[in-house]
Amino acid sequence: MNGGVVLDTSVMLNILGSGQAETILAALRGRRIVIAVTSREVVRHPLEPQSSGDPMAPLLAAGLVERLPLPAPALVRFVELTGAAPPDDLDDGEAAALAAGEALGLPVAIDERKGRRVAAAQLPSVPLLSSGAVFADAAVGAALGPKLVDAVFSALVNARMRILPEHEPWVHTLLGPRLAAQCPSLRKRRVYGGSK
Amino acid sequence: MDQARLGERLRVARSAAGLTQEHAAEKLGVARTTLVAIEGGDRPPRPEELVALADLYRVGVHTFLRPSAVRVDLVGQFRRKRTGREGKVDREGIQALTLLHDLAAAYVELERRLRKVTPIDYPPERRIGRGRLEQQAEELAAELRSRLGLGLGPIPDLVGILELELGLRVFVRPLPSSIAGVYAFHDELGACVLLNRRQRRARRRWSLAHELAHFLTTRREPSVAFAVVGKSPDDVFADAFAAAFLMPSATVRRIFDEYVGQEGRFSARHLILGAHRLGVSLEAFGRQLERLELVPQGTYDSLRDRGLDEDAVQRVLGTQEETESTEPGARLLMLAAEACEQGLYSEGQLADMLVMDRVELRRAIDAFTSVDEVDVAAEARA
Repeated sequence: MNGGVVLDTSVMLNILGSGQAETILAALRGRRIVIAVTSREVVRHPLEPQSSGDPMAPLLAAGLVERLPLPAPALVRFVELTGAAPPDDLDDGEAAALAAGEALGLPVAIDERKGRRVAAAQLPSVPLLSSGAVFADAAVGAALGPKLVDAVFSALVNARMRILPEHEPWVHTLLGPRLAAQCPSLRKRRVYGGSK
Repeated sequence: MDQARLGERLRVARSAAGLTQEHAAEKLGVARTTLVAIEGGDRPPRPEELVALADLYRVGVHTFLRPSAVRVDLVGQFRRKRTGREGKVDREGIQALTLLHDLAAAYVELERRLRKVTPIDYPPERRIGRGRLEQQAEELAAELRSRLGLGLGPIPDLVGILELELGLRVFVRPLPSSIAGVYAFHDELGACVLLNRRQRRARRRWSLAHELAHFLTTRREPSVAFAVVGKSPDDVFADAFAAAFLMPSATVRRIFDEYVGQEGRFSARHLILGAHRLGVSLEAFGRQLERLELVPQGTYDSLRDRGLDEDAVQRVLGTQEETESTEPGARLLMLAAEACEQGLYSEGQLADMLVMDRVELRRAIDAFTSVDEVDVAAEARA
């Protein structure tokens, strides 16, 4: 994440849901970018669902995250990704994040299984990160210190953060069995037509 | 994707956004003839034009390009039908109808992708005939109760029954306060109803029964039930149907006799208990008692003027959770969870299609992919 990262909706929501968005974003090196199309999907703050304001406004004002329009070189890719034949089609937010990551030469933090599958196949040059990678980042851990457990727990409970299989052991070790059992999104999930 | 189809979707979206071709072309910075060519399928939109149009119409680019997206022109039907309402109220009605369209289209799309289309055998349409509307409404309500095997008792799970037995697609979303409910029917979408989440449960049940009357009598005409605007004869009939369907005369008499028999007189407390028992508002129950001449005319207004309000209701009933036993749209959420788990749709796509907040959607998906669904045998082996 040294040169920066483009954040997809799901990851941005998890960071907000941690209750430690400022500290986490400040700890990430390089540019923290959210594309305008993607940010339109961040409608409600997971910790303040009744609030009607832009959940990202304080972060934008503090310069902790940049909101950019979709770069012109990314337009064609964006339309390709949103208009692909199912099941390879993506919604606007994730397509914008991936297309921008490719155009800007930056990794994209995205959790969704479908988005990651499509990205790996169509945009192999774009490095993929995830919410788990953001929280497990050494700099983020150092910045949060003992608050890391609460931040991850809060994101799991309040934003229903999804954790990729490669980060599950880290999360379980961090939280311990008692807290992990209280996180509905950490439950084993049934994969229709296959095994977990 | 097919240019003509894309052009048609752009035209429908422009119509739903309430923009003329001139306005849209001007805002886009192109000649009207260019937009005409795009909507006619004669010229593909450039990527930047497509993004700009999506922005202008407040629709995702993905929604335009999704090959499986179902799009029909309900708003056009409504515009042709509407009768003189203009301004804000009309705009809000069209927005609500557009939302209903999007939700119903998402439902149909998910059913098709998951191959879970359920054939629906709707009851035949019954036009309102000559004679007293109230009497016809009562007869139709009694007929439907009989068809559904409901007898004369209260209907605790109205949404569940109408979804399961009649195949209505029922959605609940926040709507402007001027709108109580929206109904529409289309061969591709089926019969669908959108209720205002901002209203209390009893009011929503009334709206659902009201829209049910439209489904039974004027099926192919989209209807927006406005909370304050004057009512058409169809709406008067629909209200009479709602009253008869939710509060059959015989049942109201029985409840009244039971309460008066116990205490010798009818009180505000009885009004609260009776309304709660039937799942209707205090006003609806009070008016029905007056109509049946069980209490003097003006009783409800008098009680209200003397302070009968929600605080009084809470004192009698305590704080009770306002939920249906079947959450409206439960089947839709189950389809969404399955589609997400199969990787057919991403969370973002589903949130967009179902017009839901992302975290709210995650919670719903979690509820339908609970630990109970884990392969117990595999767990045991592990």
